[in-house]
Amino acid sequence: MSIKQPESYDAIRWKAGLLIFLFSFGFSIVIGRLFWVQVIDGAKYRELAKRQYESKVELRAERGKIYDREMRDLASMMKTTSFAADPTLLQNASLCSELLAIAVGDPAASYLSKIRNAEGRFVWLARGVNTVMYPVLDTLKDRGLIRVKEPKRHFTYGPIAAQIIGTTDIDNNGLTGLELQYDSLLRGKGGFVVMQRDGRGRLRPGVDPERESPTDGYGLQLTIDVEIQRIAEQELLRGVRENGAASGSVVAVDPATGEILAMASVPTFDPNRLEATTNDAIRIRAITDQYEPGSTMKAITAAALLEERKLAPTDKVDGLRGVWNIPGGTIKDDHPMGVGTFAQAMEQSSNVVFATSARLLDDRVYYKYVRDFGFGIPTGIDLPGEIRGRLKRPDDFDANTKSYMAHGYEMSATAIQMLTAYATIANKGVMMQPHVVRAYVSPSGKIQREVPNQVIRRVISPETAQLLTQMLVGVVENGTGQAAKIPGVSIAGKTGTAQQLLDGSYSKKAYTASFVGYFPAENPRVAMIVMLDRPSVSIYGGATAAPIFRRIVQKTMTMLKLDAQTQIHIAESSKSDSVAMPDFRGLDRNVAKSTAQKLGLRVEFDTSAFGYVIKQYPEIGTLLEKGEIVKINIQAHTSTVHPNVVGFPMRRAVTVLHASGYEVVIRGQGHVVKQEWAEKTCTIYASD
Amino acid sequence: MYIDSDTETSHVDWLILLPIAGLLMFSVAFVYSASSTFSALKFGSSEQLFWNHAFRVIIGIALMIFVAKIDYHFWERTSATLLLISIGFLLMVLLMGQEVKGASRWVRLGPINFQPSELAKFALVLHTAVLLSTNRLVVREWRKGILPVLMWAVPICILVAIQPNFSTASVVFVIIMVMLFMADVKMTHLSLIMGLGAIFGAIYGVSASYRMDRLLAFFGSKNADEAVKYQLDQALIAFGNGGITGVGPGQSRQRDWFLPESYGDFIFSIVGEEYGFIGVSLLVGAFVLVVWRGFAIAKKAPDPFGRLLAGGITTTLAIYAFVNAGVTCGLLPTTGLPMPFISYGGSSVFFSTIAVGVLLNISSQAGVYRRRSRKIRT
Repeated sequence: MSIKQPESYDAIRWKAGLLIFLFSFGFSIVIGRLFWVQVIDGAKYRELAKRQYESKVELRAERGKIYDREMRDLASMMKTTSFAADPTLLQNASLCSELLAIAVGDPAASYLSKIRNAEGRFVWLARGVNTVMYPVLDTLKDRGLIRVKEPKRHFTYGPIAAQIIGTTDIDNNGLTGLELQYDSLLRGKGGFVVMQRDGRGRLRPGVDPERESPTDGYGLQLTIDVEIQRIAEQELLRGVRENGAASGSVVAVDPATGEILAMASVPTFDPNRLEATTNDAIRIRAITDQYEPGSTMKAITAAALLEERKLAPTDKVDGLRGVWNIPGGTIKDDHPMGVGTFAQAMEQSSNVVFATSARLLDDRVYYKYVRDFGFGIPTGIDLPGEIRGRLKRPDDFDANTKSYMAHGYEMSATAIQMLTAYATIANKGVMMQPHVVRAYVSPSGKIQREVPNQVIRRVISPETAQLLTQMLVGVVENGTGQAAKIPGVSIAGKTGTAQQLLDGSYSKKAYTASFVGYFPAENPRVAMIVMLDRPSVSIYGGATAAPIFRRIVQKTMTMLKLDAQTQIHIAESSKSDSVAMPDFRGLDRNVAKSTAQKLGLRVEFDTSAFGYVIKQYPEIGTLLEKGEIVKINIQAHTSTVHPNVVGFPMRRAVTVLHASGYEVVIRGQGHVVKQEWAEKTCTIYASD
Repeated sequence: MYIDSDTETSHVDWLILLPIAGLLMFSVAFVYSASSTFSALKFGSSEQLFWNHAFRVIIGIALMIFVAKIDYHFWERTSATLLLISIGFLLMVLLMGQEVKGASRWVRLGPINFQPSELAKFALVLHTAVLLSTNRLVVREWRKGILPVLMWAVPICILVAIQPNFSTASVVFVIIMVMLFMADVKMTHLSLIMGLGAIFGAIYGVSASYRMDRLLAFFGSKNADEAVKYQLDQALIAFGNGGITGVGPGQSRQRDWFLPESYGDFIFSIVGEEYGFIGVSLLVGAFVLVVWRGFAIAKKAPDPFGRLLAGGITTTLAIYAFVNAGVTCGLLPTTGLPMPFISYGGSSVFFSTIAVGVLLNISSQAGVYRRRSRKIRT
């Protein structure tokens, strides 16, 4: 049987063949193209692929901690979580709000309203929340709750030593203080890990990922003792308030090592709440602010005179009864002095004696001593922002420059410069480098390397230092610095009361009051300066700064390495310093004032009018320290207001009422509990 | 008049069946890998689309075997009906189809979604073979030979084109042209139709912004639609990253939300990524083998209907495979054509396997196995 071939048989043969060829050709072009893409150009696409698959994720290095000298944490990193919400995805807004309310403390309703009023799909609810106590916040499953882990600098002691420790920005870069000074050390070195990424940007770790581990930052052990610092800050703040000063500084240093034990500036701030801080509070005033030092400079002048053997403490000097006219001005004394010893001139802080005596020194010699004591050059303390102060070069001296510089004018200095100068005298003439970092600490908390104490130079001989110390002890024992006196403890110190140079002329209102000294004088362990800017209650360093110095010494004695005998003396002195607030009510103004002064209290009246005490603060019986200010309100004789004598002892109530021009009817005995008025007659009822 | 031996009809054309079966088997692995990320997010199980596809492949193979047992002349009697049904579905799609990505290409039939254009394409190939073989003595005449084909083909192409599914419409048009070419129509007639088709297609091609974008993207314009350009870039990255040997089965990264449609129209890129140049060469090789065998069957088919049908089916498979491969590797502008046997999608799998079933039946009746047929002929 044969099959009949169709007419087009031959045609289909070649056509099918042609189509096979055409399609094969088409497919071979595809293959060629694929060869190009996959083999020849493959590397290019593999690079593109790698770029879109891999994502370098930064691994943060943990910022180093800052410790005080007893290795207490001052600044460390806290793991915090910031919470935001996507209102369109949030399933359980009320639960999230309540949990946040518990952890943060704001009312739940505030979070709910944030969520409800959100525009768009992202709203911050709370930043930097410490979730350690509230792990449920970290595990709560809600697609609309967005969590961002943000390590945050935490300052354990809040405002204590805040200026020294410094601040960091939101990315934990150092901004001020030690955080800035040692930023590269604290910061460490960040690392990275290469994560695998999908087309929607989600990351997951790959197998055996490329990785560079971060190196955590080094920590710092400070020379600061946070407890001494705390007391220094408390007492400084109290002193600034009581004396109505604008600001103040306290710096304490170990003269033998240059280690700063405390460095307080008021006003201060809370570094954990940086948003509420002003620039004014962040400054380390002791190194950034300069002032004309005034009388504290006399110790430096004396050092030069003694060392150059121009004068001895027992040499007779003439105070010219407190007035010395020089071309272009007059140098005056508050406590005029006639002929006395050089030591007495120091005790009485005679400007005239020092102004005249300075002329015994050659310009260059005097300049050398001032310069060697560290004026006009930064101390080089390891804190940012230190200024150099102002010191004229001998070539720029005019005829009176030495006389003015001798008692602390025509120059300016920082508190740290002045303190370092006194610490040099305390350290028997050898200046030590002041510093606040004691050691570098490894990330694991071990002391890695101690910062060596550095000798800067010998400035004066031990003998001169010895003589000078005796003169300065005299200042506290017998002279202007008596408010710093603690029986049994020999304190060497000097007061300073300097007029401030405002707009080119010396102000009669703005003063810098200071006290700088060291103790125990025989073997000084601490040198300390207290400075008040523009005190208004009293302007004198002896009345304002010296009591602060004393109180800090009394309260920190157990922390200072003092011998037992000295400690006992200090302890006794603090006890005897306490006094109970008396009842001044009904007393005459002047009687109240003299009573208070006998007790060692200072009085602040509400008015300058004469009359009787009608109100007082604090309460009767409150324990006060000597030198504290009490507030007293006076009922003036001329007042038309009925005096309120309730609570007064009967006899004093009568005195007050009589003095105000009223007839008095008495019912009972003891203290007044009630008073009734009728025309010019007052009936007072007593408790018994 | 045809081969009457039972033993001959049971012949299986292994050179077609093996590569097709291979492609289907591997497609399960391809789809599993390419769809797992998408499937995991969309259905909560990375295996959901894999199971769907595996199930469809099994059904598809069953359909292929079943159809292979049906004498292909069965389609001579049913082609007109099928074509009318498919026109009905195309109208349905236009009126109430499911809109996916801006085009209505799907119609819901009970539990399954299917693409009427796939049915229309299949039916049109069947019916064109019927018309051209029936009128084979007058195919050189315009009115009696060509016009009856165009009267079916043009409306169907238009119905598909306005879905809008321009790429399917133009591919269907090209398939019909190839079948006319095989049927010995006058070259002048063929040139005229192709010219008209090309002009019409060009006008239509630039008349819609997304088609314009795809074309611009293909020619590297900066104004091109970012999404289209992105898809092509990602497809090339997939190929390139695969290199010569590929990153290994199941190791695709491009499926992780980088390459859109990674398990559908762009699955060829994922194959290139996982199996490399070697893998895609083998895959293209399988298609070349199918094309070669398909046209061999066309040559040897016992009657004109068989010849044209085999040629039409082979052309369909070849053009789909070529266009899809060309699109994914950036040779052709982006279209929405699946790769037969490989891409995820029920309609594509079913109509491709049915078509191969028809091809196998023709093959079993053709004198492809020369030694045996020689024996029979004598």
